[in-house]
Amino acid sequence: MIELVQLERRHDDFPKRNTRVFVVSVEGLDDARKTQADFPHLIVLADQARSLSEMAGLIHPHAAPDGGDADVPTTILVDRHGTVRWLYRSPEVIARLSPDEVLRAIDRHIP
Amino acid sequence: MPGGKRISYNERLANTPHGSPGSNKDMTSSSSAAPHRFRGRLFLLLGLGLAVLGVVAYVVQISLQRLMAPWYMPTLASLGVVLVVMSLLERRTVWRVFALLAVVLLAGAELAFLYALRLPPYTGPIAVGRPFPAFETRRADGTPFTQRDLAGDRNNVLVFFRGRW
Repeated sequence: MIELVQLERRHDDFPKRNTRVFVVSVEGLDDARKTQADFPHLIVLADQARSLSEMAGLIHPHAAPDGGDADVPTTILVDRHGTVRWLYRSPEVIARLSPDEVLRAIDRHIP
Repeated sequence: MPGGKRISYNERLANTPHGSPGSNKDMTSSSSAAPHRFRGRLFLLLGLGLAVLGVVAYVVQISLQRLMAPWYMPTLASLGVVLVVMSLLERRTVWRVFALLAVVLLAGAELAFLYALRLPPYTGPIAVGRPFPAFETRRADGTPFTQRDLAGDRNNVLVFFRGRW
């Protein structure tokens, strides 16, 4: 969740690059609504059915504290035509990109 | 001393490890041991300090919300092991052996912690330069969201996160 806090703090920098920020987890709608209320400038997707996470190969089995599955922390840039421009998966599960790194990736990979 | 054998001062001195009558070896060995002891203690304190510094730095990193792998932790603890070994080479004491064990265990635990958190490289179907594959999920308000919603007049960042916990 720390990465969401940091992205919300820097939300002004994304529209300047004509970019929206979606945050995705396999939690249900109730949790997604709470997350949306906490981070109003991010667009929260509730992938409880895992259509997106499983299709993308981003499920981390038994990684949640209750033994359930969770998403592998990953950042993907998709341009306005729906084409994937960049994918970043940290080599360690505790590492995340900072907002500055995401913004630099946008500047570098999306024309 | 009734019933006991009297031992002369010279005999006693001759039986001590470095002693011999009329020599000042004891004094020279103790004066040369002092710098060794000081150096050994310095290595010991530096070694323990580095091991602790790694843990303190990690706590500071988390409190600053910096999400990166703390590889400095086992690195500092390993340097601490080297320094504690050097202190043991200067002078062997039980406490230094215990200190070495503690720092080795700490370095090992930190390495194991980091290796347990490693992720395999991504091998999924999403490829750079290709269209985002088809999917259907929901927004927080329950409305559907598909790959078609990614196309439009704006670029998109998708951040997959682990959850609210």
